[in-house]
Amino acid sequence: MSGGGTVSDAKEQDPGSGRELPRHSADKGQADDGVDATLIRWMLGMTPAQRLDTLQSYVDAVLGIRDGSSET
Amino acid sequence: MEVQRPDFKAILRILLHHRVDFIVIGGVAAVLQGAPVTTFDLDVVHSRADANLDRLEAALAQLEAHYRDFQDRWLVPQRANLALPGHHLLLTRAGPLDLIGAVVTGQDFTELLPHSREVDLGEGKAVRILDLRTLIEIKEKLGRDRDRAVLPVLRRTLEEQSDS
Repeated sequence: MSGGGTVSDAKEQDPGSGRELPRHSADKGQADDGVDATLIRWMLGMTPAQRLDTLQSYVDAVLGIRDGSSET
Repeated sequence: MEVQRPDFKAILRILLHHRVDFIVIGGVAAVLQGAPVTTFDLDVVHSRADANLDRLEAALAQLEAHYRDFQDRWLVPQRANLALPGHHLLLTRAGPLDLIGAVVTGQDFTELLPHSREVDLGEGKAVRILDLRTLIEIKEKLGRDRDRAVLPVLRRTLEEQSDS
């Protein structure tokens, strides 16, 4: 993973066991630039047609909310 | 202001039906290659060859395309202008469509062709899209805030593609 910070610096402790917990962003595959690689991998798991359908659904949902329509 | 909801597939279907030579660039090209970004318009670099301009005109007529920056006038793109390297920000009955004669690097359809590939959209339809590496180069060159904002996602998508 890219980024300048070290994981050990950011580790938190489980209050129950006292064991170190991995940094939350590391769990999400998120680099210091804020990019969530899990979303990219999710998209890469789709066919191009499915990716376009996903974008279309998102656009429809956003505009549906804006317009107050029931399509969402 | 009139509102047409984007329907990317509908625009692409009509361009393909009229056998228009074009390359999808911008956000839709990024999404088709796995980048989790969003966009509300379809950006296309069209071939400015004579025969293609005929086909493009027919497709634009079917799409009822007109310039979206003239809200008080219905201005239809003219063939002579489509033959130039400029940008045409259009509104169609299937949403916004940006036609681009040449991108910021000066490359037109013919020059971008080696940096493009076809992707299957199902139903026997395939569209040509600009590869992610070239898309990143163009956005770096544009340097606008909205382009810079999306660059980390595009670069990471390219890395993930290489890893997989």
